[in-house]
Amino acid sequence: MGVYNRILKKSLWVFHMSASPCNNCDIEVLDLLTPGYDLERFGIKLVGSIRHADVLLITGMGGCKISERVVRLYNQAPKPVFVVAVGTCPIGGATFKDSYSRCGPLDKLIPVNLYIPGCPPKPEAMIEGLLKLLGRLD
Amino acid sequence: MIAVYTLLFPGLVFTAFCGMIAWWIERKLSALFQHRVGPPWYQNFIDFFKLLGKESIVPADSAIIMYSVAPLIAFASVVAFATVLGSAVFLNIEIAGDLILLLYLSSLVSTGIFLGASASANVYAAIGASREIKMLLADELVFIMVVLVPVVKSGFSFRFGAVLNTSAITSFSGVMAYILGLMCIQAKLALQPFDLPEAETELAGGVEIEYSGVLLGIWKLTKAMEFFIYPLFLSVLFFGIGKGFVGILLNVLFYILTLIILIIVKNVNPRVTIDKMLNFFWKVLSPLALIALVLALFGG
Ligand code: SF4
Repeated sequence: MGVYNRILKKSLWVFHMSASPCNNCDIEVLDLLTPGYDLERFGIKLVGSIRHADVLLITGMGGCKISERVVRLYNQAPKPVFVVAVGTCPIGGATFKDSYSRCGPLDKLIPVNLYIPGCPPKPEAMIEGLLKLLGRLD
Repeated sequence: MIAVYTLLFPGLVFTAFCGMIAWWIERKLSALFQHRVGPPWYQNFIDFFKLLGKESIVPADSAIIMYSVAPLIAFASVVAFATVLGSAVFLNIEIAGDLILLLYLSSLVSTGIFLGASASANVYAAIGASREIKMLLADELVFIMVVLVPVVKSGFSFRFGAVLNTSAITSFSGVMAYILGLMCIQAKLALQPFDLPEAETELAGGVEIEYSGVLLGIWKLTKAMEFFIYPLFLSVLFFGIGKGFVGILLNVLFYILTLIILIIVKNVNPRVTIDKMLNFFWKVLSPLALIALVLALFGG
């Protein structure tokens, strides 16, 4: 898998899913694509369909309604796929931790490869996190 | 020999390489337009090899045979297009009626895309498929009239070799047809403002939405090869093939100019709606193409 991982590292296509966040994290994720941060120089690209994705990037605390869809999307993704949880929400629920509609944390639903905590994490932290994921592929 | 032509030199390998580079130029220039750094030059190769190693999922309720054959139809037509075009341009080999064959192959690519999209049993793909076929109906008429202008200029010859010996761009009708041809190529490559079938932000990839793994890789390779051959077709059709070193240099420069015009138009235009696009092609461009053709017939 050595050679293939090295290729995969340079071309991660990200599918962004929001599983009941407060929307702050999503805005920060979109920041990553703006000229200031420009993830395309690492070959990282946001794609519109889960079938094209290598990374499933999930924000939010995982509401009960969306959690079925999270599992479904994970099953629809072509393997190998990495799950990245952005924000404190998927870990501990942040402000929504006592919500009646919370079915998280995320790793109860699907296996998570990487957590990027923060409420919301800065774009720099996300880049750092994604690069850590790249490092782990070695 | 035919196998070598098809697989190696003007065909598959050569065109795929040049296409990936041409596509990279598109991505890099678009990035520069947006004040970004953009991907490294080998990005498209890496993307392609990565897709080869991913799992290929065939959706359960798709038309399975058509779903897997359609990318191959489009891919095979592009390879055939590249071989016929490349043999005429680089090797001076002609086959009878090659210009008509090229027109036919170019619409076969769109047909392949249409078949694949409608076989995937996805609403977005279905919308993409219907748009793809409407775009084919819209740009094909203009494209044929545009191609007829150099044919008229070269003395009514449907041999590609004869067309390559005359440069139609020196006349008024030639310039007009070239500009119209640029718009048709824009539509055939599905670049903005005519990227209706793919429409990343609206249809989430449209025609390719259900494809993954190897089959998606074949779509991407098809697209990359189209990036090389359509601008090449247009530029040699109107510029002809130059003699000697200077001539060939001019040819290369003219090809790059064609590519760059396409990319600039892509970057400064938003996507149009399908009715605007049809109106534009049928009511504006078709009469203009007819005028250019008539002008060419009267020697203008
Ligand atoms: S982690 Fe914080 S900022 Fe992000 S979605 Fe949750 S509450 Fe909002």
